[in-house]
Formats: sequence, structure tokens, C-alpha cells
Amino acid sequence: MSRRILIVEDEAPILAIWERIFTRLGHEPMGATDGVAALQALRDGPFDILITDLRMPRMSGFELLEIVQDDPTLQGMEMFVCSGFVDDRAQLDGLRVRRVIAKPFQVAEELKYFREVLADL
Amino acid sequence: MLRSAQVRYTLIGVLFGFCFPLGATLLDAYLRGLPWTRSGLLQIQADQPLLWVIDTAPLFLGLFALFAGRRQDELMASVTEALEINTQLEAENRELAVAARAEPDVREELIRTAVGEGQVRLGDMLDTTPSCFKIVDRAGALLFMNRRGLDLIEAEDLSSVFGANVYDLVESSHRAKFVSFNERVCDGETGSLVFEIVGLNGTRRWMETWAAPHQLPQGERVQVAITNDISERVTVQEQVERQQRELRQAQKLAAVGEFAAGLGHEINNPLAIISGTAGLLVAEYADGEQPEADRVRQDLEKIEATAIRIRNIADGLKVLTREDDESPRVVVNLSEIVRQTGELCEPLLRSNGVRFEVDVPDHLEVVTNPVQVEQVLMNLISNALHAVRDLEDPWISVRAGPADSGLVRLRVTDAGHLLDPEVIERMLDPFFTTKDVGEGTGLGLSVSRALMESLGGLLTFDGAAENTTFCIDIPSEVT
Repeated sequence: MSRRILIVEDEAPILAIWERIFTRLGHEPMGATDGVAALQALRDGPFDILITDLRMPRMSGFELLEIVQDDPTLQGMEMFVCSGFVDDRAQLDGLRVRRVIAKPFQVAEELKYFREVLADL
Repeated sequence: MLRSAQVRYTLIGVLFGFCFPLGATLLDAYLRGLPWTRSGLLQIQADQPLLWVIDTAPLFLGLFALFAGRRQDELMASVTEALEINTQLEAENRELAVAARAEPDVREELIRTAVGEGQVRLGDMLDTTPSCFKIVDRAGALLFMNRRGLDLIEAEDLSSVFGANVYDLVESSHRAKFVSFNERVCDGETGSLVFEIVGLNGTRRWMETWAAPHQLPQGERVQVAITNDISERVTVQEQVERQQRELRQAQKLAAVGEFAAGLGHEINNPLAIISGTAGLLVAEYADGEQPEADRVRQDLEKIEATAIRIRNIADGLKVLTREDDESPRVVVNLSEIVRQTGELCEPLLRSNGVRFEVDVPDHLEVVTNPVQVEQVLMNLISNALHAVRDLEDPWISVRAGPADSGLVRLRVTDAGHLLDPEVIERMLDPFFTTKDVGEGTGLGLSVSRALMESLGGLLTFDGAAENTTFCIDIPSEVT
């Protein structure tokens, strides 16, 4: 069964990599370049997985995660963070984040990991 | 005894008093035709009872004169006493005036007295002078040196070093300039020189000398010099310079550190592009797929370009490590300086949602120390970031602007409006800060301004601009 995945990332080439990973896994990835665009996409339709960068213009990943967590219509979605700023992890306390993926990441590992995650959904 | 007015006056009074009975008796004898004999005069005395009264005249006049004389004596005594006190006061005043005069005058007077009395010889005086006094000929041979000088070069006495070459005492790296200085003085110039010596026992000292030419009786011109040990001053100066260098370095780290901290992480993004793109290709081949040749080439190109991007970011980091004090001013393209700074600043600006606009033409050349200008630019951008990051639409721009001839201007503008006149007036002062304790030292702008001035440029605030604008003026020609 094909799942809908939202990737929020201001760096276009990284966004493209994630899209290729989830396409390979047979799912439907969609990209947003900042928190504001991500919220717009979330309001247009439900997603199974959200992967977001933390530092982005207009609206950061932290703000996006908070809004999503507090919005009753957006529950039941698995949330992931993918960031190069691993020091920011402390700020994620209290946010329902399943895993923090540190940049740079290994494609083979992420393929394996998300194949399992998506199979369990 | 006759000096006493009391006695003199009494004597005169008594004598004058005798004139009355004597005159009266003689007048009576003449009128009555009596002879001027003792019996005749006694007869008159016996006949005229009034004469008994007149006879007492010497007594009364004598007494009257006695009192007048005593009074005169008393007056004279007090006048004499006053005169004596006056003389004494005048003497004391003279002493006080001498003491009140400047000490050197007194000393000079003492010396003049001593010299006059043959107690002081010129040689002794030179030996007690706290400066080195020396005479050196054109070839550098020592002809005379006082005690202080001998102590400084660590020599026992003059005879042990007389005629020796003083060039040997000068530290080798200072020798050439000392030799040329000595020759110039012997040619008739007057001047001063700072140099280092190594004493006969190996002690190094910084010396400052004032020298003038002097013609010897046989016609040869030599150098006469007074030299002082300034080692302590030089040490203190070196310490101050070192501290200033350290302060600049610390300031640089503070200015750059903020951006550099984010930079290390920022490298993780391009690394993710490289590892991700390569990883996808690996996954495709591992699964036995034959990816399209065009797409593979695109991926490889992306990997290559991203590696170059990482190199540029790392280039920006050299501002941290390069020893900037020694690097000379060079001709450099202004847009290159701005680009380097942008590489370093952009990640942090982007993650704070700040738009960063650059408009600097490619052809503008400046003569400067690029690392220091980058540092100043970074400092201004850091301040701007703090000012605008909470605004609705935050932006910072760096543009070239019109400047006085010989200068090129960079205008660093942000979305904010700096209006507080107190802040505008004082913001270029050291330790002035609007940031909270622990957020800034308040040295940024003042150090930046000092840096620009040391580079022959300027750092100013453009109060007329609509948005907060700082101007950096950089020389475009060798000054």
C-alpha cells in the first residue's frame, strides 16, 4: 500500500534525495521548502510520515512540529527530524519525534529503516 | 656716657639754669654801680630776696632736662630695637627666598660654589650622571665612557675598553643601522637612535641614544652621545602591543565565532548531498539496475559541484586561523572579500530566516588586508542579524556606494531603523553595547573602527539613510 510522505527541507538537492529514496520504496513523497509551505500541504491532505529539517527560513522545523503536535486534525502521523545541527536535539524535548536523522546520512541505512517503518504502519 | 641723652640734656639744663642768677646779679651790680667783686656780689645777693628764687633755676631746669633726656633715651631705644628686628627679618627673608627657588638652582649654586672652590672635577660629575656619556670615533672606537656607560656594557673600567670597537656590543641585527648612524653623526648630523646591545657579560639591553658631532682639536670629527637604558619601557611597550594583538584576536574570534559555530554544521548539508547522491547510485547498482547514463552523469556532476561548495565554506574559515597582523596590504577585488564573508555568514542568516542581498560590482579593486575587512564586515552583519532577526521581513544588504576619491565604499544596511540618538552617538565607543550581559562585549564596533582606521579607511554610520546603514571606506590606492 502506497503511503504519503511529506519532506520539509530548504536545500533542494537533499529534498530530491529523500524523494528518490521514498520513490524507490514505492511510496508517494512530496516536498516543501519551509514550515509555511509544509503546513499548507498538510491542510490539503493527510500524510503518514513527516520528515523535517530544523533550520529553515520563514518557519523553522521546531515551530512546524509544535503546530502539528497541537493540531487535533494532524494526529497519527509519524514525525522525523533530519538535521545537520545535532546540538539542537535538546530543543526537541517534549516534541513527539520518533527519530532524529543526522546529516550526512547513509542511503542504504535509511532505505532499510524506512522500509521497516512503512511496513509496520 | 655723654651719648646718653639723659646726661647731656641735664648738663645743658643745669648750665643754662646758672645763666639766670648770674645774669641777674651782674645786671644789678651794673645798675647800682657796685664793683664785680665777691663782697659786692654777696651784697647784692643779700639785698635782693628775689635772687634766692632765681638761684634755684639751675636745679629746676636741670630736673626738667633730665626728664626730657630720659624720654628721648627711651624713644631711641625702641627705634633701635625696631631697626634690629627689621634687619633680622630682612635676613630671614633672604634665606627663605633662596630656599623657595627651584631645587636645581640651589644645586647649581652649590656646584658653582664647589667648582669655584676646586672641590668638583668634570670627570667626577660625568661619573655620577645617570645616563651613559660616550665619545666614539668614526670607525667605532671608544674614546671615552662614563661610569654609567661602563656599567651598562658591563666593563670594569675605561682602560679595559678604551679603543675597543663599540660596534661589537651592538646586537647583530641592529649593527648595520648603528654603524650608519655613527657615520652620519661623524659627518655632521645630529640625531637619535634606538638599538639593542649585548653587554660583555651577555646581558641584552634596549638603548636610546642622542648623538651630536664634535670636532677634536686635531680636526677629527667624533660622535658625542648621551644614551639611556630603555629596556623597561620597551618591555612594557611590547606587553601592551601583545595585549592589543590578543584583544584583536579575541575580538576576531567573537565576531567570527558566531558564524563559524554554525558553519561546521552547515558543512553537513553539502555532505548529505554528496553521500545521498552517491548512496542512491550505489543502491541502484547494488539492486542490479542499470541507471540512465545521463542521470548518472548529472549525479556525478552534482557530487563534484557540492565538494567545491564545501571547499568554499572551508575557505571562509581561514579568517579564523590566519595570522592577520603580519599579512601585508594587497590589491584585492572587493567583491571577492564580500563573497568570502557571505559564504561564512549566509548559513546562519538563512537559518534565522534573514534575506541576504549583495550588490558589489566585480571590477572594484581595493588595497587592504582582506582578512581584517572580512572581520569588520562580519561584525557589522552580526550586529545587523541581532537587530533584524525578530522583524516581520528581516533582510541585510551589502552594496557598493559612492565614496571620496581614493576610497571605495561598502554600505551594510539592514531592515531595522536605528533611531535612539544616545545609541547613535555612543555606539562607536568601546564597551558600549545594547546587548544583554554575556551577549556582547561592546568592543565590536570600536575595534572595527580602529581596524579600518589602521588600514587607512573609515567606519561610519549613515544617519541620513532610511534603514540602519554602516559605511566601510577602503583605500583603492596604495597610500
